[in-house]
This record gives sequence, C-alpha cells and structure tokens, in this order.
Amino acid sequence: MTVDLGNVSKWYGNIVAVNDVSFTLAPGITGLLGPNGAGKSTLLHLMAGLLRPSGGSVTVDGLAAWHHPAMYRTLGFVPESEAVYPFLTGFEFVQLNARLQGVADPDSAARRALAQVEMSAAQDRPIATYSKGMRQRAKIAAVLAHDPRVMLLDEPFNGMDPRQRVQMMAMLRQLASDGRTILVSSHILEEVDRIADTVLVLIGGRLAASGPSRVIRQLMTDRPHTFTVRSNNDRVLAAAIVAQATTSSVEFVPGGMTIRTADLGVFTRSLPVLARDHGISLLEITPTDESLESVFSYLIQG
Amino acid sequence: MLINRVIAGLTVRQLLARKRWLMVTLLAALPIIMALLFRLYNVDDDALTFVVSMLSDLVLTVCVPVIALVLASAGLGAEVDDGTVVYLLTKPIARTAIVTTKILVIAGVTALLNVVSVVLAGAIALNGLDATHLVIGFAAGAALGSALYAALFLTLGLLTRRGMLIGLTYLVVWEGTLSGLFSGTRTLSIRQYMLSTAAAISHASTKVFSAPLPSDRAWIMSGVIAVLCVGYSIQRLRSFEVGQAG
Repeated sequence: MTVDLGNVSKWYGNIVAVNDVSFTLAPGITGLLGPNGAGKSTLLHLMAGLLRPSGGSVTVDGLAAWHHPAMYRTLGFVPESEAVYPFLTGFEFVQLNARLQGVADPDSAARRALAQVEMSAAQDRPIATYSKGMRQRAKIAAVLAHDPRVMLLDEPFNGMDPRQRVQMMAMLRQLASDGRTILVSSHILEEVDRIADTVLVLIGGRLAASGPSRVIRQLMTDRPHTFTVRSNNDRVLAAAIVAQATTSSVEFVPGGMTIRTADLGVFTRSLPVLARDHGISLLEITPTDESLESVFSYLIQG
Repeated sequence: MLINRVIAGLTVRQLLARKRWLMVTLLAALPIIMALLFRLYNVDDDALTFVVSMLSDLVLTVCVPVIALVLASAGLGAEVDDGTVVYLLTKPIARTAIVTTKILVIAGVTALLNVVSVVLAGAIALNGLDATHLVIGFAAGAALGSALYAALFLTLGLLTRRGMLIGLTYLVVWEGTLSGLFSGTRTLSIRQYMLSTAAAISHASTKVFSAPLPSDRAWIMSGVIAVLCVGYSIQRLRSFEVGQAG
C-alpha cells in the first residue's frame, strides 16, 4: 500500500508551508527529517487528509486523502499534539478509537494494542495522570487498535525515555517488516537514522534530499566541518594543519583558532598525530557547526 | 447514518466531565428551588402569575440558553480548540454524522434538564391548581429553545474560537435588550419563539399571558434557523482543516 504525493503545496495566505513536494511512500519505515518549522506537521496533516492541498495531489492507495473518510480504515495518524480526552482512562481511549473504527471486538483490540506499547499496567488510570511518554504510547496504541496498513506518526519519540524509545523503534520495525507503510517525522537525525530505511529531508517546506538513510547520513557527514582548536602553540599547529590538502582555512580568533576542513575523517585522525609529532598539547577542540540547522543549511546549498 | 452511537456516548461524557454536570444541574434546579421558596413564603400570592413569570423570566431567559451555551462549548467547541477533534476526523465516519450526533446529544441533554425543571417547578408552585397546559406549553417551549440554542451555539463554536463570547453577546444584547425595543427584532429571537410556543399551547386552557410573536411565524423561523445552523455546521466541518505550519 502506498501514499503518493504529486507536486503538493500548501500555503496560508502569503506563507508557504509546503512547496511543490513529490514522493511515494512504500512499505517499510520512511523518516521525515527537518528542523522545527520546516513544514513536517503540515505535510503529515496533508497525507492524513486533514488539510486540503493548495496545489498538487495526495493519494492513499489511489484514493484522494482529502474528503474521503473511508481511507481511515487503512490509515492511522498519530498527531504530535498531546491533547487527548483527559476524562478517559488509557483503555477507554484506545477502545474508543477501536469502536469509532468499527473494529469487531474493540475490547480485545484495545488490550492487544496497549500490550504492544507496554501500557497494560497503566491502562486503567485516567490519561490526565499520564506522563508525556505515556501519552505518546497511548496515542500510538489508539492507532494500532485497528491495525492500519499505513501509519503516519508525527514526532512519536517526543517525551519518551531512552528505553521506551528503543522499545518503540523495535515495535515499529516489527510492524514495518509485516509489510506496513510507516512514516515517522523527527527533527533529530539520530532517531531517523536508527529507524528509517528511507529518509526525506524537508527544509523550508521543500524536499531538500531523499534517499536511503545511509546515503543521507553520508551527505550530512561529508561536508565542510568547522572546529575551534586551542593548544599550547597555536602558530606551529596551524602551520602543520594548513599543509594538509583537506584543510580549507585556518583563522586565528581570540582564544584559539578556527579550522575549516573538507574531510571530517582525515581531520579528526590527523590532528592528534600532528600535535604529537610537533610536541604540542591540545587544550580544547570544539565543533562549532554541529547544530542541525547548520547541517540543513548545508544541504540546501548543496 | 445520521447518528453515531459511539460519538453520542463520548459527547455525553464530554458534557458531564469536569464537574460540568454539577453546574448545569444546579442551574436547572434553580426554578425548582424558587418554586419551593414560593410555596414556603408566598402562599397568598397568585400562583399562576408567579409560575408564568418564573418560567418565562428564569427558565426561558436564563436556564435554557446558558445551559445550551455551556454544553455546546463543551460538546464540540473545546474539542476543536484543543485539537482532540482529530480523533473523530481521522475515522471512517462521515462528518455529517459527527455534526448531527453532537447537535442532537447537546439538544437532548439541554432539553431533558430544562423540561424536568419546568415540570417539577410548575407542579410544586401550582400545588394542584389545574394548569397542565401552561406547564406543557412552557416545557414544549423549553424543548424547542434547547434544540435551537444547541444548534446555534455549536455552529458559533465551529465558526470562531470566540463562539462562547459571541453566544453570550447575542443573549445579552440581542435577546436581552434589543428585542424588547421594537417588534422587528423579535422575529430573530429564539426566546420569542419559546414564548410563542408556550403561549400557543397554554391558550388552549387559560389566557394568563400572551406572546408578542405569532406562533406560526415563530415555528417557521425556528425551522429556518435549525436548517441553516445544521446545514452550515455540516458544511463547515466537511471543509474543516486541522494542522499548523511546522
């Protein structure tokens, strides 16, 4: 079962949230990566039939997503928003979703889904008393209750502790190996890298890159990197570094020097060797552009 | 299918959650308390005059619209505001059924509370006096008003986040002040439709009060408003977009 986006755009007045995006989601896990405000949520809402595309088309298994409630039999959407009906218990919430879906045995479907996300122990507590991570898992269980073939999850790992995250990733991988089409959005590269077979990078509402997660990771690491280095003899160290072919520039700044390198691997391996050969002590090495925003801005330029 | 039983059950729980049941029950109990006080302290006054003014000035003017406003904002407006409406919209259920179920449940609960209130308060204050048609008339008026206010306030909640504020403004400014100033405004006042209904049914037995708006015009206008509100709400929810840039 596939989800197809053809030249999809969404704008609000003069603000373009999603700009001419095309891709096909196939069975397996696809990661939608992008900084906050990139348009990930808007794109997921378009795919979930909750927003009308301003241009282009979104189809789920050949059926237009907008204005087709019947498609929700095969699609499950987990919103990022924490809001759930606070007066329901976890079990009642998941069972409600199963009943709204018309599942034949909503009670056992709810129990099964809650067990899948390891929430059976807390299922009879009101959702109002749940932690953020527990709410996330209850929301995912609500979707699992009708066993959809397509799952769209908006920042599902938010608020989960590392153990829950690992458990959830394993569960999603299991669901994907059964042939489901799963899209997971995140603004954290490692999350997407660990779980997704394919990665879509969304920046400023545009699809900046897409491909197998290995290729995207390489694209993100094979780029110029900048470090601030401080040693007990910056001038001698600078001369040795400049002599390397992969060094783009060295600049003296207050409190050390800023080094720009075209090859992260060569730089990190050679720096300690150079320091040792010249009898220099390294006092501080700080990467200065490791934020996701700088990685993304590099991708846009690339 | 116009009614979805699962949504109906959820809506009832939404209406009564967060001690809201206590607030609306107290409001509906107010006329009954007034009737008891009347029996205790004003036994010599004319019971019929008291009942008419209590039912028209307290039940139809305050209880029916305020209970409908509180329940309509809890039944769909709050859900739209906090985003939980997504859990209804992402189900294989026609949006028409969501709107009609919500309106019917909100109207039903509002009507139930107010009709029980009218019947009990009327019976207590009248103390055996034969004015059954008067009570039935006001109960019918309250039921009609409950349905119309529920539809109107639910529509306002879908139209704007300030639905509750606009609803209150309509009650205080339009129904409270302007509709008393000149007759033309009465044609667009749910309170006047309730009074006309009460008067039309009561007149069968007793002429203790009269309504300024002819009942046939009130019922035609009630139908028009109900159709407009339900039709607009369905259209609004069908094209309702959820989601934000981000």
